Amino acid sequence: MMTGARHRNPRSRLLAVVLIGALWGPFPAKPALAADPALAGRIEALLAVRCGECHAGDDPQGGLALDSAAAVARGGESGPVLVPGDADASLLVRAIRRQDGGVSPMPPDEPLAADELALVEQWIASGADWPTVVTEGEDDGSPVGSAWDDSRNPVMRRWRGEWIDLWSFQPLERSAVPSTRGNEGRGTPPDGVPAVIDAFLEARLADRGLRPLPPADRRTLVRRMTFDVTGLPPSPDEVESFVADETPDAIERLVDRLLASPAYGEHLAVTWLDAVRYADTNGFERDELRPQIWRYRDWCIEAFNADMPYDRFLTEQLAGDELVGEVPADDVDSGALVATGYLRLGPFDSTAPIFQEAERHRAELLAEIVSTTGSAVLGLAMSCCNCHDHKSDPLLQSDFFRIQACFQGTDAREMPIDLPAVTAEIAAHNEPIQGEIAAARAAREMAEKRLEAFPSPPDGVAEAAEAVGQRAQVQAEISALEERVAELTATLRSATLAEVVSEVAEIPATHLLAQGSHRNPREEVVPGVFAVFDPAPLAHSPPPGGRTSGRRLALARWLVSDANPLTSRVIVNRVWQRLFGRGIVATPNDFGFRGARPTHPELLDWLACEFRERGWSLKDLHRSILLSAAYRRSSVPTPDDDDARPLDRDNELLWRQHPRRLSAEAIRDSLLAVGGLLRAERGGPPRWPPVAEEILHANPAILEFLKEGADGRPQGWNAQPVEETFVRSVYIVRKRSLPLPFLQPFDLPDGVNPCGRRDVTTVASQSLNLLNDDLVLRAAEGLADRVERALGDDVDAWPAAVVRLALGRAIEPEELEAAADLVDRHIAIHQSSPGQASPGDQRGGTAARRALVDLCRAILNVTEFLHVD
Amino acid sequence: MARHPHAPRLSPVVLASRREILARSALGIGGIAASLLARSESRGSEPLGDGGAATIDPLRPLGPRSPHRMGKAKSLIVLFQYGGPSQVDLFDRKPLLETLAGQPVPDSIKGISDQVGGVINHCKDSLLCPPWAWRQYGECGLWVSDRMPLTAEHADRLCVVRSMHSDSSNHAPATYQMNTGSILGGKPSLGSWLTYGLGSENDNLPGYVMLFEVGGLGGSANWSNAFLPAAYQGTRFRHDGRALANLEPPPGFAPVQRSTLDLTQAFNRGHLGGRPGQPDLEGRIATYELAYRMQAEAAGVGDLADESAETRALYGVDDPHRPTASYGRMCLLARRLVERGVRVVQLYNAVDKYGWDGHDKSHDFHERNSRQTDRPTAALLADLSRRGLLDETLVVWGGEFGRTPMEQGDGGRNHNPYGFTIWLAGGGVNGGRSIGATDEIGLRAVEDRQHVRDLHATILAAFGLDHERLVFPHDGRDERLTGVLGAARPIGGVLG
Repeated sequence: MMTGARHRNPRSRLLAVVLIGALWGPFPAKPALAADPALAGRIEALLAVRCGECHAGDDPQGGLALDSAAAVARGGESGPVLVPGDADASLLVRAIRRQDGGVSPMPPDEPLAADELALVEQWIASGADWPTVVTEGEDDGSPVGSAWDDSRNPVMRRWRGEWIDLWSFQPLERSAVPSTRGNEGRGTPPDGVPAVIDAFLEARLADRGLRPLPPADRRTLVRRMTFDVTGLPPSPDEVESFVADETPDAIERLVDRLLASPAYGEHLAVTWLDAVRYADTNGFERDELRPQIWRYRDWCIEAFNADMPYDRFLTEQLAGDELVGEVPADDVDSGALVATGYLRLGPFDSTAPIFQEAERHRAELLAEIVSTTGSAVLGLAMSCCNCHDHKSDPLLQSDFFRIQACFQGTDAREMPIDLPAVTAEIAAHNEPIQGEIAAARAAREMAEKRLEAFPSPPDGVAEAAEAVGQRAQVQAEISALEERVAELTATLRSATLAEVVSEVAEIPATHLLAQGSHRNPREEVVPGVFAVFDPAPLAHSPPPGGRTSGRRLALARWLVSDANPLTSRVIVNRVWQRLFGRGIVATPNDFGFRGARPTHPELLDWLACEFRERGWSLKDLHRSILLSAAYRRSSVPTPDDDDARPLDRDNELLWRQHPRRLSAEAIRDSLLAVGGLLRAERGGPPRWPPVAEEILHANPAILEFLKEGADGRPQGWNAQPVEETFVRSVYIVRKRSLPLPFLQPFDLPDGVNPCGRRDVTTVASQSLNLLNDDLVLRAAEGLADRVERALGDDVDAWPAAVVRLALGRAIEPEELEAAADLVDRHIAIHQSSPGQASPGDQRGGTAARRALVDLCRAILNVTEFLHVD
Repeated sequence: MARHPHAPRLSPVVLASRREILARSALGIGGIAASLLARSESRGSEPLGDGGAATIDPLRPLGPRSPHRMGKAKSLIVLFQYGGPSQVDLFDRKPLLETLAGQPVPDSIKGISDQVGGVINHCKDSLLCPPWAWRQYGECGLWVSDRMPLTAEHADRLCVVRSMHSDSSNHAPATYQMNTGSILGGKPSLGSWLTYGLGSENDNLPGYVMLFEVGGLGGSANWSNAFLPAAYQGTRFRHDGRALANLEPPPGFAPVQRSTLDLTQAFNRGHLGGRPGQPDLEGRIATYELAYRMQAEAAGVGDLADESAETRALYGVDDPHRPTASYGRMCLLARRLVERGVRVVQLYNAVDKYGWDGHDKSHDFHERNSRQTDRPTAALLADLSRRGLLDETLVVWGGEFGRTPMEQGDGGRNHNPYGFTIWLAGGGVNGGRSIGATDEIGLRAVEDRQHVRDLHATILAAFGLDHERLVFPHDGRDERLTGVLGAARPIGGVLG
């Protein structure tokens, strides 16, 4: 068992180190430990990749297996292949050098590259040690403990304990809070979580002699906070009322108002959907819509808004069905089923079976779930372990497959998620209608028989008028009955479907796959977690009344247990990153040796402990950070602060806030909001904005389905009237083969790679979109409407109103001059060239109106609109 | 805490560049005082770092950078033959197929059926003979079928690799692999890697341009930057040369475009003035000017009026009803783009969603596609050559896989990733050379087998880039185009 308690005790840690030392001492004369574990590890991987297809497993070609120390030492049918210390004499080297007529050249198809060859030679010359240590005589049969406590732990055998000092694997301990120093209250313990945050940060600043910037002004603060929490700009009224609010708790009330807004969940969901590479479509050749997966997106938003505890949030996604059973008892249960959509978010190639690649693809999908869970929940780069033991973190390849075994039985399906009462209601509603439908169909069949029974008149003889009339009457009857069936069918209620995951009855065995290839299965593994924490099989049992194995539930429980220090650190860091532009760990998806080290490890741990103890509340965590002095600091240094810059150019110690650019979604949403176009609708199936025909027709995935549907629209892209798509961007369809052209250049993630932190780049296509895209023109028109409604044709007042509505501040005198000048000049231009063709009626209106639209378009393009201080 | 024995092997250069990217563009801190506008006029190349990762100036991500060592190629044109052209119908002559036409697959080949996966099961046990005449061309005596007679005239410029193989017999994964190295997609494309490594030579055009009527299956993942910065994604131009995505001012706005932008920029300068040392604000101002200049420059690229009648006839673009019109126009545009310093141009041949994909009546598909593409392909090689551009322009021709020698359906051929042909020309490639071979019926590469990642390593090498050193740190490892396994190497004999 993992020993959270022992582990937490520093003394037991010490003891473990001593024991390890003692253990190494009396090792046999020739320990099977590589002199250079890195070299041995690379050799193991190399042999697996280049030779493993034939030379591994129980029945290798030529009797030679190259997949374990013992097998390599044994050699093959031709005898030993290695002479440790003498590469030239080794059969293996002669084969891979391919210059020896007496030995078959290996590998037969593709020779090793020169550097690979050199590596093998170097390895043999240095003694041909194998990476895995085989210890003997130490096992007394007792359960093997964690790597820190037990030298028999496989990670200790593999790397001799050299890698287990990874900071993020250390137990979570609440660090001592520094006393507040500086100007306010020297030596007093901080009161409340925000003050603790500041105490940690300020202690470090004081150590470095850095003076933090003063708080941002209120106008800046309300804009920053509103964007950070909701992803939307504050309205001018919200700005003004906060600026004018002089009550002591004005900031607390602002924070509470923002966290209570449903826009909070919508904005936080984007962070999570990035991490789990959410999309509405399959990807690959056909890129079909997953018609119900939006329910998962909505479930995330609702969970965040309801402040569902994060441990529950994760557990439902991994094992909602095991938690609540297959038939939901209430809406919470339904939600838990919807949440399992998490397990089927990855790209899926529906055409794989056509080319008999289904087995390969299934292996890829399973591996992909493990990697995504690794990066999203644990902040670990696990995809390396699909092919080999990790090259820098204490993770074994078998760990990857032990975790994969938890997902081995997953079975994706589209399933009704209605409560039993609703299901009964639907049935009660439908039953009589279905009876009527059956009756109408029977009547129609009868009528058809009557029609057939009409005798056909002989050739050349006109049908009697009476017969013609009768026939017509029956035909009318049939049409009426068909219409009736259609009418009745339309009144049927259907079940609410969701894309969920359950488990197959017989879960196939999980094998470690050499080099991650489904064609090279090796030893069977059973469900488990990282051996470094606990090498024992993961205890699991079917949930009461359920028919699943309980594997995923057990995994989820471990992920949020005290034994696992990663989960809470990772989510606290994600939230920190949202509110400061950079995490305490700058690589939110990699808490391994290759990732960044935390800038404030004690603070991260303190917050992670606090987060757990306060019931995993994300709103609480946001609130604490938002109320810290650090969050509220100015981001703009003055010349007086020049002394601080060289000391901490990257602002790692947070002597100021980080300014930032809005995300793709926030830019679009802001344009819609400022243009007065943003619809209040929330949730529901994805919206499909119109996209140029030439873009749709260039995408074969859409051509495939371009055969028109009943409504006459192409099936691959279900474009709606553009106004209907003016909802928040989180509700816009994420089609993997066709990211929305307006959003994509603003560093939208690709929906294939889990994304923990978006790039922020500045490229010309962004400027082209902001200058010329139809969306921006419509927003400019909408903003002009708002100005005109307020001011009519008071042209002189327009510039100030545009700036106030778009930027939430008063216009500066020189800005007013430039803007008024533009209006004047553009009125003259438009008067001289009226009535040009335009998309829609966007160039309609008087010359003055058109000049106003130009002004709005100019202001919607300014950096201040896109960036937050 | 003990030092980790395998501490991150990122070179200092990578760390510095990552740091700078984080600091400058994401967080808006840094001390860049120089005006970006002034800088973008300069033509200096910054070298790649020792570790191979590019040091990127976030204000000028497409600024030219010099490679690891000298390479002859400066630009790349990929002529992507979507759908999978049949090697045994074009560049890989198999006399045995004539002898065994309509007969069962030889036992010697059946014996390896487990190595050719599912494709063989979908075929009849019957060999389909290419109905074309074959001739030898050039001093090298390259055999080419009469479906590619004009391209074949350039035999002494082509380096034909007949022993390609890849990992999926399905379009989307195979197309992903040819473009990104990975059958799952989600990795940066070849063009993204090249522009990341080398930048571009023209500041007023994207560094990596896609041309197609119908793009490859799998969509935008085929020209994606994935985890590389967005500046390195492929930008699609229409096959008539206009860039998509809002290149032109909307109707009615053109007369006021400059003066509107001037007001925006006045506000922007004021905003920057209060926030000195925020390079992303400087960068925004600069990219607005770049966008404005692109409107003019990119519009000019598509205007073929300044091409001579002879050149237009050479590519077959004069008559819009000629089968060569669409592909010819793309080939001509490709030349015009590389002439202007664009680093990578990739075009797709397909005018429908089938391309070369003849599961039935394969000969008809090959008849049609070769009629559309042979003349323009030959024209491109001739035109690049006479303008002195071929030496520094690498041209690569190939599909996502080849096709089976066995018959499928009614005169069709199935997909075949186990053995197929690509060719390279220009950019330092040894012309008049053939590399590798398939078995006697052209099903499986047997001699000097070359994987897609070897092709990628070769293409990078032509530019002086070492595929093992052109890296980008992502998700805990140094990612590279050829994958992290280390099994790739440039194809021997291709480069001089």
